[in-house]
This record gives sequence, C-alpha cells and structure tokens, in this order.
Amino acid sequence: MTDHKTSLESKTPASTKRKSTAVQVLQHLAGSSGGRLGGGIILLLVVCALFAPLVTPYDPIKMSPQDALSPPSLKHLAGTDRFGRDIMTRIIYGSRISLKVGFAGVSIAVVVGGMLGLLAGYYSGWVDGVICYFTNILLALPGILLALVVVAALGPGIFNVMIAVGISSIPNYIRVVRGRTLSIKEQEFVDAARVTGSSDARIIFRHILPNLFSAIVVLASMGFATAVLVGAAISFLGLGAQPPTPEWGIMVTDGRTMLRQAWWLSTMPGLAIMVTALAFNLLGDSLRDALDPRVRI
Amino acid sequence: MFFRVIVKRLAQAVPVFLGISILVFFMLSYIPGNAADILALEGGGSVSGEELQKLREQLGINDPVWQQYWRFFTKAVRGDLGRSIRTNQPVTKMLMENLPSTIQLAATSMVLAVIIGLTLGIIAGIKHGTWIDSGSMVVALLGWSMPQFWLGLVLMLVFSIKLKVLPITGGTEWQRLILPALTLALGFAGIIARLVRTEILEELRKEYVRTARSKGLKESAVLIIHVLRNSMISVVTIIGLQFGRMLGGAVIVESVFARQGVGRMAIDALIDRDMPVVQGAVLFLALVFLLSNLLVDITYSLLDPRIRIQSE
Repeated sequence: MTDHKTSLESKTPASTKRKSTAVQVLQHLAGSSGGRLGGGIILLLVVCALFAPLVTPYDPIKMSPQDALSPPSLKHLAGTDRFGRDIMTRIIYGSRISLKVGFAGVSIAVVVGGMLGLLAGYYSGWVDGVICYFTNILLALPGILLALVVVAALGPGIFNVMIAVGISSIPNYIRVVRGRTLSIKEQEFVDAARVTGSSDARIIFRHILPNLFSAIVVLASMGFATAVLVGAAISFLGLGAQPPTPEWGIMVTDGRTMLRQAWWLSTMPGLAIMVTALAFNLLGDSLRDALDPRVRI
Repeated sequence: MFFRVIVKRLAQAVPVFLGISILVFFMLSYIPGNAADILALEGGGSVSGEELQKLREQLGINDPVWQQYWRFFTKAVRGDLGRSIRTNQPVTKMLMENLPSTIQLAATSMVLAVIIGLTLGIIAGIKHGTWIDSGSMVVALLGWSMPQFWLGLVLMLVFSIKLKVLPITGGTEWQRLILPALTLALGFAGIIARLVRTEILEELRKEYVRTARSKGLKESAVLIIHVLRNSMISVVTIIGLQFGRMLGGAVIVESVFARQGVGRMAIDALIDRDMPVVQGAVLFLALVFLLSNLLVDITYSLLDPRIRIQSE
C-alpha cells in the first residue's frame, strides 16, 4: 500500500526509496525468529548446493559395496545406502536438484501466471473471460494430479518435472495477480496516468506491476515450498528423476522396501525435503508480515 | 430464488468440466509410447508390423486426436469410459470398485483434520501472542511442510515396525485405515489451524466484540457466542475447499500405503501407460472436485445471506 505513493511522486528518486524498502524488509526478516530461521536454512542450502564437492568428501553416485547399509555414524552422518553411497552426500547433491526444481517451477508460474493475471485484471471483457475460463480448468484438478498428468505427457526427467511443477502452480498466481490488479487499477494514480496519456503498456508495467511486487514475492516464497514438495512427490512416484540421480524423492522411494532393516534410507532425505519446505514457508510468512499482511496462506 | 443460484453454478461448472476433459485427453494422447506399442513389446517382441498396425487400428490410435476425443466423449456421457488396456476391465466398473475406499479415507481424514485443526487454531487464536500460540503454529507449519509420502513411511516405521501397535499388512479395516488417514489429515490440520487462528484474530478486532465486552459479558461468552460463531462461516468454506486438495493427497497416500482407491488406480495406470484408465480416473477426480466446490459455494451462500444476494 505504501508503494503507490512512490508512483504518485514520480519525481522522487525511486531508487533510494526502493532501497530503503528493501532494507526495511531485511530488518523485519532479521527481527522475526521465523524469518531468521527460514533465511538461515535457505542460505545454508544454497551454499551446500553450490559447493557440494567441497562440503562432502564422498561421491554421490560411485558405489563402495564394503560400506553398504551402515547406520548413521560420525563417518557417515546419515548412514549409507545398499550400494554404500553416503546418504548425507546424496542429500547435499540432491539439494541442487530440489532448488532447481523450486526455482524453475516458481519462475514459470510467476512469469506466465503473473502475465495472464495482469492481462485478465487490466482488460476486463473477453480477455478476462478467456483467462478465467482457462484458470478454472486448471483449478479443476488438484495441483499434484495436474502435475502428474503433465509429467506423464512429457515423459520422465528433471527438466519435465520443472515444467509440470510450474504449470500446476500457474492458476494460483493468475488468481491472486488478477484480483490485485482489479483493485489497483481503480486507484487514482492509475486514472492520473491514463489522463496524462500513458499507454496501456506503460500503465501496466510502470504503475501496476511495481504494486504487485510484494504480493508476488510472498506467493513465490511459499510457492517455492510447494514446488519442492510436488517435485519430490513426482519423483517418489517414479515419474520424475530417475536413478541413480541423487534426488530426494527417489531416495525416499529407494529406502521404502528396507524400512525395517535400514530406517535411515527413507527418513533422512525426507527430513531434507521437510526442512527445505519449512524454511521457505517460514520465510514466506515473515515476508508476508513485512510486505503484505493481506495475502492469505 | 435459491434454486437459481444452484442452476447458475451448475451452468458454470459444465463448460469447465468439458474443458478439463479436452485438456486431459489431448495431453495424454501425446504420451510417448502408445498402448499398441507397449502391448506389442510385452508380447515378447515377436509381433510383426502388420499385426501392430491391426492392433493400432483396433484401438483407434491411428485416427486424428479430435476424432478419438469425440468417440471418447460420446461414450463417456453414456457412462462408458472404455476398457483398461491391461486387464480389459471396464473403467467405470474399476472406478466403482475403488471409490468406496477413497471416500472412506478422505472422509476419515477430513474429520481428523477438522478436529485437530480447529482445536489448534482456536487455542492459538484465543491465547494469541503466548507460547501456546507460537507452539501450535510451529506444529501447524510443520504439518504443512511435511511431504505426505514421507510422513506415511515415518508413521509406518514408528507404529508398525518399532512400536508394533499396528500391523503393516492385514489387520482389521480400522487398523488399515488409521495410518493413511492420519498421514493425509496432518497437513490439512496445519492449514485449517492457521486459517482458523487468522479468522478468530480478525473477528476479535471487530467493534461488536468491544461492545459485547463493554456491556460486561464474560470473556468465554464473548468468544463462544460471538467470535467463534462468526468466524465459522469462513472456516466452513475453507474446510470445504480443502477437500479437493485432499483428493490430490489421497493419490499419494494410497500409493504409499498400497491402499485400494481411485488415486492409486490413477497412478498405477499412469506408470503402466494404461490411458483409458488414467483418463477415467483423472476426469472422475476432477468431477468430484468440481462438485465439492459447487457444494461449498452453495453452503456458503446458505450460511451468509450477503453472498446469496450478491450472486443473484
């Protein structure tokens, strides 16, 4: 809500104003325990993903049968699987895949969903009608089922999982962005821009889009958690990443049959999924409190 | 008057259902490796090109997709969803066999989720700002961040393998139901708890609460008579809308526990590329989802007259 003032006072140096908002948000995040915890975990995950070979001495794929199925110990923090591969190492390398799936899925959803939502909200009439119809169709299937159908049509593989996860979360963004656009375009500064002869494109990108920013950031953070969960579920069901890829969902499946003999096989990678989703949800919650208290869930 | 609302909502749902059926049909028709090829491969690879061609014709795979869709559609409106490529069973019959188990799972989970979620949410809302509040919200967020497929395995590990309270296979119907239902319920309980808390906090800020307090009403009366009652309208809606997501969750949970059901039927068919079964199951789930949302809409307008007037 404070943002649209910036648009009104178009002569105010926008950069300094925006920077101060960013600083405020960061301060808020650092001030809330949820924001600190979530942000800290995400930072750690990113560092692990980037520097995986430096973080762990083991190889995620090479087998060493003499170490097979050893329980968690100081040597193997999360134990080893039936091929003697270190589970912790596979979890660390797996974070690369999960973060990629989350990032790609959210990006697709934000770009496509955001664009369609903006168009639907800004131009009412048949554009809105068509986009809403399309949204309702996508919403008629539970998200995970939609993702599964898409990935089945595209075939297995991480890349297709990203697309499927992205498509399944598009309708959510359309709905929220459309709703926000509808209320923003009724505000005075949009009228002012129109009266002074701004083109539709200029109004959309220069005046409306910046005001959607906070809602999209909050949605994207929580959407990241969902994307990681859905991506892992697809691979868990055998339709996504394929062995021997160190992917968290497959690792949980792998350990399923040996739950009795080696509990750590499924439990550890599942914990990684949960901690990641939790971190993004905490961050999203905290961002929402800071940026946009009206967004629900 | 009320009848008109129902008719209007139904009229909106029909084109959406048609749309999803077209979308699903076309997406599935692009699946690499069609049924004829798969059947031929499984026959041991000894099928000649001529026989393969015959099989493809028999299955109608050579026709243009829209023609295939039309054939599917005209049969589907008469309740014929085709036959499984694997077992040759009619898909409709398979659905009817698998449905009761899914309904049982979804209904039990819904009850569990509502009980746990409402309790957590109400306590957190009333004790706002205390450790009880933050504690319940952490539990809620955890439930929501847990992958269901993993939670199911962990519950199995704890209750069946370590504590040996519940058998992994066999056992009574109730014993077989409890872990899947709990798995499915916990995430939703988390969502419900958070939303109930938000609703209560919002309601507590309203003027009438101050009025009620200032006229000397006991706090418990304020909460029960006013706040809870008024926040329940949105809560009912939220719970109703979660039902669809619960169907999605059932897909996963049924697979984890190897439990009979429409969701597992869909997944197994997807893995087997048994397209008629996938189509039937997916469209059936979409139908149930649409109908349940319709029901929520109607209930909502019954509960809240403002909505009813708006939509007329």
